[in-house]
Amino acid sequence: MQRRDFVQSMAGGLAGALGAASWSQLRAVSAYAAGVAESAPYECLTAEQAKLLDVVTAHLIPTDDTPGAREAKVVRFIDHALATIFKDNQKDFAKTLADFTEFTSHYRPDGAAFLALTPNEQIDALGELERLEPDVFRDLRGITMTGMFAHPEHGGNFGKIGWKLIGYEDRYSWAPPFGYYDRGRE
Amino acid sequence: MSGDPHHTHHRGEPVRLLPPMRTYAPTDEVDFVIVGSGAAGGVMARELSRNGFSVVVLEQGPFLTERDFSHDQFWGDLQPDKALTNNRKDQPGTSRKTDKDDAKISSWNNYGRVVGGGSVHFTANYWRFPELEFEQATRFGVPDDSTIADWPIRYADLEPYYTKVEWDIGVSGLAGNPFEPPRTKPFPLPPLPIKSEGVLLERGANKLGMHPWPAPMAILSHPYRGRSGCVACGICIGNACEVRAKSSSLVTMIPEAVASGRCEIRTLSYARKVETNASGRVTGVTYFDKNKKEVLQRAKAVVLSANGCETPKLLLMSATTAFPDGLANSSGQVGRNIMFNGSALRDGLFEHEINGWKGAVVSRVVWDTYEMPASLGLYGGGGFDFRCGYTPLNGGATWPGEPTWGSAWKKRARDYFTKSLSVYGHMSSLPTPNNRVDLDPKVKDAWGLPAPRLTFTGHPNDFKLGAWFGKRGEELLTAAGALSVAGEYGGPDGGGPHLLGTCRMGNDPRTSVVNADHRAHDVPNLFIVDGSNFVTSGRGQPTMTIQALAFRAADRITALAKAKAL
Ligand SMILES: Cc1cc2nc3c(=O)[nH]c(=O)nc-3n(C[C@H](O)[C@H](O)[C@H](O)COP(=O)(O)OP(=O)(O)OC[C@H]3O[C@@H](n4cnc5c(N)ncnc54)[C@H](O)[C@@H]3O)c2cc1C
Repeated sequence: MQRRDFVQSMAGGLAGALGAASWSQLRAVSAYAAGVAESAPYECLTAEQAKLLDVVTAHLIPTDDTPGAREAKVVRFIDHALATIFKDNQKDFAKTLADFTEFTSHYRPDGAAFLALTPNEQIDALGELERLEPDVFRDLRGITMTGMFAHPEHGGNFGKIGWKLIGYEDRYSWAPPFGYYDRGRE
Repeated sequence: MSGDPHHTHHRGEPVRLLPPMRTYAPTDEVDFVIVGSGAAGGVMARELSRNGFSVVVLEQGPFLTERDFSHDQFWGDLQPDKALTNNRKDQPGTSRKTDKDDAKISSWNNYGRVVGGGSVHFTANYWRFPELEFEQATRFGVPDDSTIADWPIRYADLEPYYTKVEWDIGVSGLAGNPFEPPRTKPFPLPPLPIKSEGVLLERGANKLGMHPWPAPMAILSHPYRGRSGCVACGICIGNACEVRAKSSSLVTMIPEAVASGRCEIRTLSYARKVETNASGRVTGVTYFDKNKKEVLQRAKAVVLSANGCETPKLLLMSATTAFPDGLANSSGQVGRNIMFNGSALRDGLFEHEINGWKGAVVSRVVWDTYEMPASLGLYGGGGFDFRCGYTPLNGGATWPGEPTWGSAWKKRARDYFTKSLSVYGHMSSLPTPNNRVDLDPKVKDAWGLPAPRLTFTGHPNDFKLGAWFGKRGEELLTAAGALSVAGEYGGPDGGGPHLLGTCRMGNDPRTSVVNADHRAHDVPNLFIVDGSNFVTSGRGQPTMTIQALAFRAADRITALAKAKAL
């Protein structure tokens, strides 16, 4: 698979191709469930990568008047997914992180690492990344959004935080009216 | 992967899900081997077994049932290569634009790889083709660089079978659409409830003087024949139905075929060669079983229903010294004339919640554009629906010109998800002599078989048609009250799940692969019944016609077999 196919932006009509995983693999990860202990060791990410992703994903989906990527445990999703359903994409993702590190190291003349920047500088650097390295940005955003909105059994979307944000409810049946415009037409 | 589809357990007690299934030995010469259990294969299995013939269906995928299905979008559904669909790691495809290009690995061929095929996770729009579809060459001529031709049958030949599809599998809808061809019976079930997208399409279409109508859908609006009505669950598109309301072959035709006591559905069986003897007749099918061991199932006759990609691949792989260019291919037409339909898409953002993710995908259609005014100089036509483009995994959706991350994006995420929809124009696409599927000379699948290679360049007309439909779609959105409209795609699809035209039917053995009875011109006891038979693409939504053709083919083949003329 091409690196650029990995974790496509979720903005399109169809969710992107996220690497091959079999049904049994997918069911196996459900045992993982949400709520991994804060102190549990990472399966795939180094501590340094996890720290970086924590900051990046929290800028992409910040905690403000509603919970964000941190509360949804997006980094735990990324780690677990790379060990399971996205196993084939480990190398691609490492490359994305390396590209990110390389790009952001030029943000300040002193070559400071991303984590050494002030929060405002970090936000600015992410904006630059989106503008100048859209593929790298898209990969990071894509996997962040996936962790936010995938079924909680994959370790992210903790407490269905992502689904609450967008107004999706996983009930198994609905009756009309479904929305505003079909009221009175049931 | 899946458990035994015939049994499950309820509070420790075994429960039978399917009637006991008759099985055959590979050395038994059965009346028919059918390759593929999808939209067409399911119909063939049910009809031929109920007509008294012994049948073995070879299906490469597993036999999943609703106990196996899940709302988790990561398995199956929209994610290619997962549980329900063909896995490109094991079965890659390759594609290129022209003969001069090198084909690269690509995911152009998208189909359901389970018992029931694509009908298990499809959207279930079930449109009849209009009468003109069958006689376009006569009525509108043949454009340069196109192989478009009349069908060897007319709408009137298919009408009884369209009706049979509606009643036998369960299609919901309302008779009386002014653009629908004449029908002999109403729908068996009333339309599914109208959704906000449907109300908005009505608004837009009425303003433009068009005629919105309840969508015909192969989803039950009420319980029917022992199956549940649709409960409007939160995820339909690309998903397998958990309550048997989607009228797939899996829950309609296959159980009835099994119940005949004459039909075996043999799963995890990947057909690799249709065998022939010295007199040029088919003798059976060789397949890989689940352990990748080759097995020959003997048969008096063979029906290929493996879809518009896999059927021509199988014929080309079945070449012998007597059939050097592939079986049934004296015309050189096997694999040619491939069509995918065209699409034109625009997104609209509205003021209030639509929540299109609830319920079946489509509730209203507009068919005024089935036949286009001659003054436009466009060949073909199509229809429109409004639908929600987003499922929960698309929660990260963005809108052009607006922030894509941070608190500003977060504030809008709910609007994008609940208040947007897409206008979807479904269009015809022209067959051309060079657009085709053949065998990749280099790339092999996990069984060592050649990958299907696509060569495809859209016909110039289809881009113009797509541009026109895109523009009209924008007008519909604006007339419906969209606050903002985005997107610009319109044109022929260069791949996808509509795999059509690659073993076309016709009266002339020099220009077609099968005759009007679906019998291969070159091989008397070989039949081909699936999307590959299409002479023209239809105006979107091919599967209703694939199944009507299958019901008709089953009648024709039964008559031939009973007359000992196979
Ligand atoms: C997401 C999605 C939405 C769709 N929505 C619509 C819609 O709204 N309306 C519509 O009309 N159509 C729709 N379609 C298309 C529809 O699914 C197909 O047109 C239809 O299923 C094709 O029928 P078929 O019988 O030709 O082949 P299929 O249904 O593809 O069946 C072929 C079967 O043969 C099996 N097979 C193939 N090769 C072999 C082999 N060598 N050995 C053994 N078995 C083999 C396959 O595994 C498969 O089960 C949609 C498809 C998808 C994927």
